[in-house]
Amino acid sequence: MNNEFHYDYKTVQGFVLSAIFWGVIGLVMGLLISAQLWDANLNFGEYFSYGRLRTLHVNVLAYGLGIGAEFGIFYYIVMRLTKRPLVLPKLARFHLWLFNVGMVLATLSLFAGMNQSLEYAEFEWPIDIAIVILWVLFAINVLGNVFTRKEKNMYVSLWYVIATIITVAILYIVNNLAIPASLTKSYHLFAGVNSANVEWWYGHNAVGFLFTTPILAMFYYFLPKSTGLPIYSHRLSIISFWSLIFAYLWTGAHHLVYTPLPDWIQTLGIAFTLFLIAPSWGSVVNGYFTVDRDWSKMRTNYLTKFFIVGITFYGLQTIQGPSQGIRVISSLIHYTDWVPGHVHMGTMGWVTMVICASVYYMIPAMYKTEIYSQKLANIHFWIVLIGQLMFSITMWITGIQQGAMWKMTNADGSLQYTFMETLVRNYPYWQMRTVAGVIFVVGMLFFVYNVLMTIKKGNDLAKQAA
Amino acid sequence: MQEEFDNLEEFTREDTENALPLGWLILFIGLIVFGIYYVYAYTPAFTGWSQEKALQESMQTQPK
Repeated sequence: MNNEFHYDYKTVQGFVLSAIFWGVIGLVMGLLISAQLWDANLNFGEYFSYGRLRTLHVNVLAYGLGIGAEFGIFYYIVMRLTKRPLVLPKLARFHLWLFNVGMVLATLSLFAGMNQSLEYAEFEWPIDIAIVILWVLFAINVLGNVFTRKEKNMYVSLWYVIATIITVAILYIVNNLAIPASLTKSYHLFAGVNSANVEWWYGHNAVGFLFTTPILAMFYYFLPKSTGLPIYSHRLSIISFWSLIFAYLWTGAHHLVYTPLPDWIQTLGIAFTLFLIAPSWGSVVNGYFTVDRDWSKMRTNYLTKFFIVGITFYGLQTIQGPSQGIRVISSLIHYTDWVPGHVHMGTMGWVTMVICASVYYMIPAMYKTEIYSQKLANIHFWIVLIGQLMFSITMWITGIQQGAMWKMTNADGSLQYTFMETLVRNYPYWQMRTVAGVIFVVGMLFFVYNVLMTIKKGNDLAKQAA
Repeated sequence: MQEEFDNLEEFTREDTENALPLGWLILFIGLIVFGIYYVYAYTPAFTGWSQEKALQESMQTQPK
C-alpha cells in the first residue's frame, strides 16, 4: 500500500542532530566528573566543579540527548503510525528551535548554580515555564495527529507515546510548583516529608516516562521494521502497556525506604514496584518471541542485536530495580555507588542502545540511502556494550563494599570504619569507571561519525539526482 | 514522493494472534497475589508491624 503524502522530515532530522550535539557535550562532562571524583585537581573554579557539572551531566543527557531524540523519533513514528503528515509542521519546526534555545539557557543557568535542589528537577521556575510551553507544543502536534489519524487501529507504540506526553506533563507541573523568591530562586510548594514524597513520585516516574515508555515505543516500532518480523503478540503488548501505566505512578516511595515517610506509603510503594516486573517482562518476552521466529536475524540484520541486547538490559534493569526497593536490600545499597551503576545500566545499556538503533534505522530511510558503514555500527555496538558492562559491574562491586563497610560495627557497637576509610576504598573503582566511560564514549563517537557520514552520503545522492 | 508501507503493525495479522505465554501469566498473577499479601503484612494498621519496631527487635537480637 502506498501513501500519497509527502512527509516533512526536516524537523525529525533537526532533532536527531540536536540530540547528538547535546549528547556529545553531556558525555564529555560525564567523563570529567568521573575523573573529578578521584582527582580533586580536575575541579576548575566554581563553574567547572563537581557540584555544578554533575547536575549538568544528568540534565544535558536526560533532556538534551534523551528527550531531544525522543521528540524527533516520536514525530517520525507518529507520522508513520497515523499515516498522515504532522497537523502543524511549522509549529513542530518552532518546537525544534525553542528546544535548542531552551537547552542553551537551561545549561547556562545550571552553570551559574541556579538550582531548585530537587533531583531531575533542578531547573529554576522560568526554565520550568519554558519547558511546559515546549511540551504543550509537542502535545498539540502529536495528539492532533492521533485524533485525525488515517489508520483506525492504534499500534502499541502510539499508546506509549501518548502515555509519555500526558504523564510527563502531570509530573513535571506538580513537582515544579514553587513559590518564586526572585527570578533565579524559588522554594518548593511542599515542605518536609511531603516535599520528599512529591519529589520522588516525580523522580521515579521521570525515569519511567522519559527512559522507559518512550524507549518501549521505539522498541515496539523499530524492532519489527528492522527485522521484518511482526510483533509476537499484540494482546501481550497491550496488556503489558496498561498494567505498566497503572502500576508505575505508585512506586516513587521506594526511594524513601527507611525515612520518616509513613510506613504504609513505603510498603505500598514497594508492593507496586515488585509488581512492575510483570509488565516489564511482558515487553521483554514479546521482543524475544518476535525474534524467536528467526534468530538468524541476529547475524543478517545488524540492528537486531541492538534491540535484543537493549531489551535484555531492560529486563535485567527491571529485576534489579524492584529488588533494590525491598527494605533489606535498600538498607545495604541505598546511598552507595551501586545506584549510579544501576542507573547507567539502564541509560547506557537500554536507552542509548535503542535510541542509536532507531536513529540508524531512520537516518537512511529519511535521506533515501543506505547506512554509511554496517561495520562501524557493529564496532560501535561492541564497544559501548563493553564500556557499559565495565561501568555497571564496577559500581555494583564498590557499592556493596561501601554499604557493607558502613554497616560493620565493633564489639561495643561503634562503627568499624570512618566515612573517609570507606571513601578511599572507592578510588580504584572510580578510576576503573573513568576507563569504562572512555570506552563507552569512543563507541558513541563511532555512532556519531557513522550517522554524519550517512547524512552526507544522502545529501550527495540528492544533489546528483537534482 | 511515495512512501511504502509494509503494515507490519497491522492488528489483523494472524501471525500476531498468540496467546499470553503461560509462564508470564503465572508471574503476572503471582505478583498481584504477593503484592496484596505484602501490603497486608507490612502495614502497621493491619498487623502492627512497623519500621521502628523492626529496628528495635534487630538491635536486641544482634550478638554483643
